[in-house]
Amino acid sequence: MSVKKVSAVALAAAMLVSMAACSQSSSSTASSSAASSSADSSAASSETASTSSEAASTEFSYPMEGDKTLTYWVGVSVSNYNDNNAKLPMWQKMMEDTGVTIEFIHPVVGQEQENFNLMLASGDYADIIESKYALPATMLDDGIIIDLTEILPQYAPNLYNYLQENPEIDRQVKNDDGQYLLFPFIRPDPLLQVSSGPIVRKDWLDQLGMELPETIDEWTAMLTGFRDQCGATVPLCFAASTDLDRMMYAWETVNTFVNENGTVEYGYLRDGYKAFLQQMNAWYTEGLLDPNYPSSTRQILDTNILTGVSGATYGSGGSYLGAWLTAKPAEPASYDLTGLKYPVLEKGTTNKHGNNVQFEFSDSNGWAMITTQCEDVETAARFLDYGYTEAGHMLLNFGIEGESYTMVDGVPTYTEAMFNDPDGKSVSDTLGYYVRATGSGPFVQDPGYILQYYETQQQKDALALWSDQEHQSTKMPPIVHTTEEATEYSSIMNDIETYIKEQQVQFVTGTKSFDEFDAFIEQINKMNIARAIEIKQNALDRYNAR
Amino acid sequence: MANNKIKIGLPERIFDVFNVIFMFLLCIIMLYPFLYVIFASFSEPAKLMAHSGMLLSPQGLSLDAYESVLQNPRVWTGYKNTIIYVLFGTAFNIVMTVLCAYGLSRKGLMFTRVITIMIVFTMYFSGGMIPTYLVVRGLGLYNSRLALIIPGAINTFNMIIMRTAMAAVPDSLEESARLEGASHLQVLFKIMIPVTMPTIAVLILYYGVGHWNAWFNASIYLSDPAKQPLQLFLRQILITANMGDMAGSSSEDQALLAETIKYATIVVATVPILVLYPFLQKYFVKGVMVGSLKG
Amino acid sequence: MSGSKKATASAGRNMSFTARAVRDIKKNYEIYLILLPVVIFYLIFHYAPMGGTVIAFQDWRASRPMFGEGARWVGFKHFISFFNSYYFTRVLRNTVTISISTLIWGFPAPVLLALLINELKNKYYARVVQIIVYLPHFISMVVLCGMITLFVRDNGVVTQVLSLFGFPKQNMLQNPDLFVPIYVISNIWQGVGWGSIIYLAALTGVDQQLYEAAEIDGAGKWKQTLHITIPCIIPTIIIQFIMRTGQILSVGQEKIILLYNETTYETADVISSFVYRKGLIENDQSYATAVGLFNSVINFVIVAIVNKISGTLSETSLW
Repeated sequence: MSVKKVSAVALAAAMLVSMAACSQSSSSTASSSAASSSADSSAASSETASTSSEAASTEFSYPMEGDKTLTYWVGVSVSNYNDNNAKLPMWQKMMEDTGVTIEFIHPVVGQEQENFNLMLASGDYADIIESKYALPATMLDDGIIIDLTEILPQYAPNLYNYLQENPEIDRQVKNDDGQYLLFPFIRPDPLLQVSSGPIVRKDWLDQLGMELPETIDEWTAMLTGFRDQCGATVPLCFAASTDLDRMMYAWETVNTFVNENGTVEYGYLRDGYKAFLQQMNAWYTEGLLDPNYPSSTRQILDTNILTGVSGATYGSGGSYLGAWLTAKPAEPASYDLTGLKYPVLEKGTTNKHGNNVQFEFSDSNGWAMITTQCEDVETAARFLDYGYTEAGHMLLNFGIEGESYTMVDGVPTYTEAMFNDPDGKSVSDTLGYYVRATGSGPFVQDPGYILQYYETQQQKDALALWSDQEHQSTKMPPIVHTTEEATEYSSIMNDIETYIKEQQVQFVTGTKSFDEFDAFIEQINKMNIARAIEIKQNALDRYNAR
Repeated sequence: MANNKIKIGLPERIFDVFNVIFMFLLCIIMLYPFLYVIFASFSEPAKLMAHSGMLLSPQGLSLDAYESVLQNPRVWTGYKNTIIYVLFGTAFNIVMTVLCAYGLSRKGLMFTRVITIMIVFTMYFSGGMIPTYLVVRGLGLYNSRLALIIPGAINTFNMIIMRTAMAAVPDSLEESARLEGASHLQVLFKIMIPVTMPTIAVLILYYGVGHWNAWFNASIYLSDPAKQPLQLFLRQILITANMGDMAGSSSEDQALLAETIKYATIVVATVPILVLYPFLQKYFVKGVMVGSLKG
Repeated sequence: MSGSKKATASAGRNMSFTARAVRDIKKNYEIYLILLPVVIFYLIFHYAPMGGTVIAFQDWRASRPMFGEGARWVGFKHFISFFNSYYFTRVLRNTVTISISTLIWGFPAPVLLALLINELKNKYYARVVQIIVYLPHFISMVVLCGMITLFVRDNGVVTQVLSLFGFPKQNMLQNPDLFVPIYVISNIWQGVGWGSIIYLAALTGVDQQLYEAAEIDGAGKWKQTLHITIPCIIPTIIIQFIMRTGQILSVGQEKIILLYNETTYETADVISSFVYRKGLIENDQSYATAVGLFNSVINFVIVAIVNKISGTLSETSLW
């Protein structure tokens, strides 16, 4: 196919979609004003709307004709209540709007990685795969997914135009060779780029007469106070052992690689790591850190936080902080929680290593790819592109008008039913039936979602505190490995990460003495961390050269 | 034994007494974990959490956990699936095992020896987890109920027990039937199966329990929750502590309820076995005499 | 072995192999038909995976064929990489430790139990005891491990009771030193009754006249046990023991996976769980298959040796 022909088709397609969008917005003035209102709050997200109104076309319009069916591999949404996405109103609406029937293939909850690997091993892929469990570049080389570079302008004009208008995001989404391999999850607003951080009992802080702690020393004082004066038997508790790693940021290190002005370093080899371990060991020994933290679960954390067993933890603003504030116990009446900035060592400094902060393009989850076994690439691409249209944007962020949201003064506003479920479901669960914004997926997230989703002032404050850090300077951008690099890298890093995980637990719990710390680092070097760093460095250099 | 009332030495009598006591203690050790689970499942969550040490009765009385478990559709889906796998899986096991054992126990055939060696070899050498998975997947059994029924059709060890039992049936029985013109299948159904019924009963038990307990293959072959057996659901609740919608963070009470729900789930998942157990017990005790294996 | 061969051979001494085969198949076609599905089953589900182990010698991925053109052969690369890895000695050590501990503590227990049950005078009581001790066998692995998880948490009933004796109140499943004891004790709890059945069956088979004769000779209970009971069940014990020894390097992954966590990998991670993690979680199928194949080969060699030894020492052998 010649370049000319491609671009001609692309243009036609783009025009066509925007016609559809126009006709939709004319039929509902409300939804077009919704777009402009969300555009106010975020320049980037406004592109979704403007894109569709710019171009003009004649032919293509949703829903597509014919009984089109696609298979879609994706983790089940609202897994607590649901076993098939096809039962959710949001997906039903999306199928109706696009004219495509989706057969979902869901991995077993908790075994997504295994199920995904097994699907690849079988050679029998779904048409669309939405998975973070393998690198797109490798999947392309393995012939599992198709290159979308020519597909996007042709069949996914909404996404394509969005990327063209946002070159910085485009740079993140493309790979080093300038190819598009996926339909990205995009968080255009800083408010959407951080969703979690430290959470503590505010009423206990008040009881202790303490300000929000900023340094590790203040944290120690706070935790000790919780233990001695507030009756917390496990002052600091986490939902998973890896959440402990969040405390590393204070020592200017992270549990992965760091981009130190263009030079890659491995967080565990940085100076602060030993001091971090020693502090955690001290907390553990003094009974400040949950003795069961290595096998802790979300459910244990919920119980501990709600029953006054624990007073400090790490979690997200919605499904943790929000859920707890909703469920807060009758006793004590003053029960309250607050977000906290990530601690630092010296008062007055700002944390630079909160690596849970995301770039606009999320390279950790939410993207969708089309496989080589998809017989109808156009339908698949158009189905996915729907998420980037005006109507799709509204659906994936706000759900169905009249059910999950209504337009209030031109602003899409979630309905009361979303917040007060008769069965006592949390907001994230009720919303999960109608939107994808609570999670991730191939679409552009709208900041209007988060500001409503975080109903309480505590959540909004927490978001402000968590996002107040200089993070992006040290976080690795969404770099891409070649298949060869990825194979070598994962065979090195799988061993190293398993090793570090289990050794870290032993240092923290005191099973291993710090005399053995040097031997521990030596072992990491022996496992060839240098090569892994080199691979990362090469990829970072290529990224910076994009 | 009846006639040794003549004289029993004192050390022996002491031994007997200790033996009786020891066995009693052993029974308590075997039973108490079940009792604890039952007591805990009926307890009020808050009281249970506050309690320390052994339980001799429920702490308070609450049926909330059971309500929560029994209202969960996944419990019932799991049950239904497990019953399907136990019934059809065991039936298929028995058919294949009996066919195999009958064929191999016939004498005077040129190739049974080769086939036996080929089969026994698999007891000592296997391709391993990953290649086996790839074969099952390659046959299109992924996410199919058959993946839990066909690949484990014959347990070679069980088959050998069966073959031994069949080989022990006197040749005269078969010969007279054959003289009367009976085919091999008739011999198998009219003579061998009835005669070896005690062994078959044992195998039904072995296979049935195996299917009941199985979770690993289900976890790698079945992605659809609608097909997953009860054990996978149990694993989710008990091991990964993912309570699903049965309890959550929506209130303090619910958070606590998660504790008793675990116990209630164990009870709900175990009761049918405990109920069936006394009836099954006599079968294998009778049959194990025949099955006391010599490969 | 030689017996059956002779029989066949004498029947058709002067015929060619093919002719004899044809005659045999014609005569016994019914039986061969009965065996056909069985043979197909074994070929597909046992021999095909053996063929699949070729990926241990390749850099195989889902997109590449196993045979023919396009297969990327790498020789013993994965084996060498495993032998040189930090985890090699560890998984080997853990497998042997868990296996031997289970053997040492777990093997004698059912024999002892069977002897004790056999000595119970009140046969009704004996029956009740039997019913109760068999019971745990029927508990599924998942429920068993779930119960363990609940009981040995820091506030679990076992932990609480042990803390009365000075044990620390900790989650016992997080202590690498306690993994093997928990594994072995729970194994015994669940398996001792079931395991004793086979010995009880053997004990029932002991000729009662032997005891009567011994009593007339004035032998006490202890002597009767030593000289009659135990010798009578020795063949059973030996067979059981051989089978167990043959499995010294095969600890199944199912229970391990349910009980271990990253805190206890150091003592809990065995070859099979390692294969599971490498192959199904880290998606390194060639490497995992290599490790699994290594395990299979070693197991095979061990069984062969054990069988040879037992064949030499006594008449009892498996083959």
